[in-house]
Amino acid sequence: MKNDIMIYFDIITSVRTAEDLDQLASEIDSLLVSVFKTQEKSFDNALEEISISTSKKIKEAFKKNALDIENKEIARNFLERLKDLFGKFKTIGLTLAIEPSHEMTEHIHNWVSEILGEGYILKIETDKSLLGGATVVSPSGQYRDFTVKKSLEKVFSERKEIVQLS
Amino acid sequence: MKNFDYYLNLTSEIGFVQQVNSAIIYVDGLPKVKPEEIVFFETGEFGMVLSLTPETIEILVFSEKPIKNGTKVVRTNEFIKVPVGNSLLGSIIDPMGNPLYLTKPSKTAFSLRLINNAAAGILSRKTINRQLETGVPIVDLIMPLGFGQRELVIGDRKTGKTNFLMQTILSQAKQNNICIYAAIGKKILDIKEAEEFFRKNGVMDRVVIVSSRIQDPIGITYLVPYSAMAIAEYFRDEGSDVLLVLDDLVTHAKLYREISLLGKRFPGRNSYPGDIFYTHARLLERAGNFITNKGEKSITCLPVAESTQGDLSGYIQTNIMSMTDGHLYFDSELFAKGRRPAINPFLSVTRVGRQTQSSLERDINRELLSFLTIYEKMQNFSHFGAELNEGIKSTLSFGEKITAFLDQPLSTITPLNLQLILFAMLWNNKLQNTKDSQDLDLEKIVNLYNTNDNIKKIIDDLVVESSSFNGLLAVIKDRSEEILQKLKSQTSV
Repeated sequence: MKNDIMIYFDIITSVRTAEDLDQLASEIDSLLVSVFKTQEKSFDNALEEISISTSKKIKEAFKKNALDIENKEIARNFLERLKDLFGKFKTIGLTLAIEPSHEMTEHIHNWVSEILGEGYILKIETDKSLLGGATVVSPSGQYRDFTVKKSLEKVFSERKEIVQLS
Repeated sequence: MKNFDYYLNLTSEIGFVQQVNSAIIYVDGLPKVKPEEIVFFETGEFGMVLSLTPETIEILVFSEKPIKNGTKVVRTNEFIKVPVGNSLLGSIIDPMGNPLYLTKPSKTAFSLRLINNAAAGILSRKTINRQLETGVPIVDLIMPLGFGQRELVIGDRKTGKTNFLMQTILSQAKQNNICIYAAIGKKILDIKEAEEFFRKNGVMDRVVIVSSRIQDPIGITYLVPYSAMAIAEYFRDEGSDVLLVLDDLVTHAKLYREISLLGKRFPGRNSYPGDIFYTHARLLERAGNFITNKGEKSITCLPVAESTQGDLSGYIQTNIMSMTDGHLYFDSELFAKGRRPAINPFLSVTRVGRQTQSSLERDINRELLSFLTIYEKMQNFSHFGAELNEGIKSTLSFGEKITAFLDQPLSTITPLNLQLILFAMLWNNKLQNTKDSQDLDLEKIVNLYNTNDNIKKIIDDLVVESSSFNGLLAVIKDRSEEILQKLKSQTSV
């Protein structure tokens, strides 16, 4: 089996958020258990029991890289290596005032990938009190507040006298 | 402390709790955090950075409430400080400066001082040259201490170490010096007893008790001696001589061992971490005799170490011995024989204390030590059951008088000059001082000395005028009847 990390490229780039990563990780775990621990099913059959999208991506990765899907050893190596890569994702924390739509999340992630490259995922939380904008936490822990709430607080504190008079 | 959002906006850095291991918490994020910096949790608790790795930050948390995984953490760009000020006098505080019991309303005129300061350099230090009166004859005459000395007080449990420390604090507080008692991991009852003793003797307004209770988080207890030292440094800089008692450093070492083991540091001898020596040495190094803006001021430090079955060779005990300028050994055998304080002068050491003594005191020290050596030998000899000649008998009976003279009740502190005169009278056989019959009530004499200026003047003059022990003995020979008469007549009233 090729040791090239690029064989996982499509799978990895499809992970956009921490939830996506959690789901993928649990699917890979269930595959490893059902195929290699309890040995109830063949790898091909086991793929039918996880989400269609993940199953499709794994099959495509095997096909694209000419890997034998019937070979249990190759399949096990593939999955374990993929699992190891999960720990290498860097998380960007975002707190938004609204629950983002799927398109919006994808749009933000594409923007992050464009600026920083691949390997970043978003951990999105919502807090209505922010009113708008977002707070951002970088993977190293840098925190930036680009919220409407903060802007308004700044305005109120800088123009305290005017606000009080009115 | 401000709130979480304040520090978040101030530092623009955030971290998340990854792992909780009792009082040690591992956090990721906070890229610019510094060792020993205070971090603040979103739940209102705070902690101190113990160590850093590229991946995680190890934090010692000062909270009884458990902290959950995923809790947000911010750095504060501040280090642990203790509020200091004259209003601390008479209070019992935790290492953060919060009053433990509302025995005294706290006043607000505080300034803040860092707990972990670097020790002062050699240029601001001065030779120890003034004797510190403990009010306990066996120490003042045989094992003298100097202002700025670091003297380990070591002994098994229940051998009277704390009683001696209380007497020393009482003596120093009565001389208007500041005393700080750091009770490390003590029972509430013990802390209360110490407080009551100081209050009963009217010196609480010169004493600060820095304490943690046995149930406090280990992080809090770990800080007690550092905080007490910071307070001592404040009073030194304000122009006072300070006596600092650290009771006890073995408990502190055990707590630090617990913290280190929780932090997965590699255990060394007796499972203590490799930096246990540094932990205590950097603390004791901060004591000494200093040249300050307000003249020569000192921090005298008396760390306490409990030994087990009289073993002086314990790891922590020997560590502290090598950091200090001597040790006072409290012997459990002497304690069982009824000696109070049960200090064994042959196993005790004072490295810088004797240089503070006058020539008269040094003479007495030499005579007394050599006599006690002979007395000890004679006592051992008499155990064989051999028939004793008159010389030995008289040495033994005189030895009894000396040991009775060196014994002292807890509440009494004997001024040094009075000790010298009483000892000279005893040496001249003018006092029949034995356990069973005492010519004079020591407590009454001490009271008389402290209250009657005439008596005080006579005694002080005698000491000042005598440059040697022989000179003093000669004067005492002539005037002992007169002095005794005065003492007896005044104390019998």
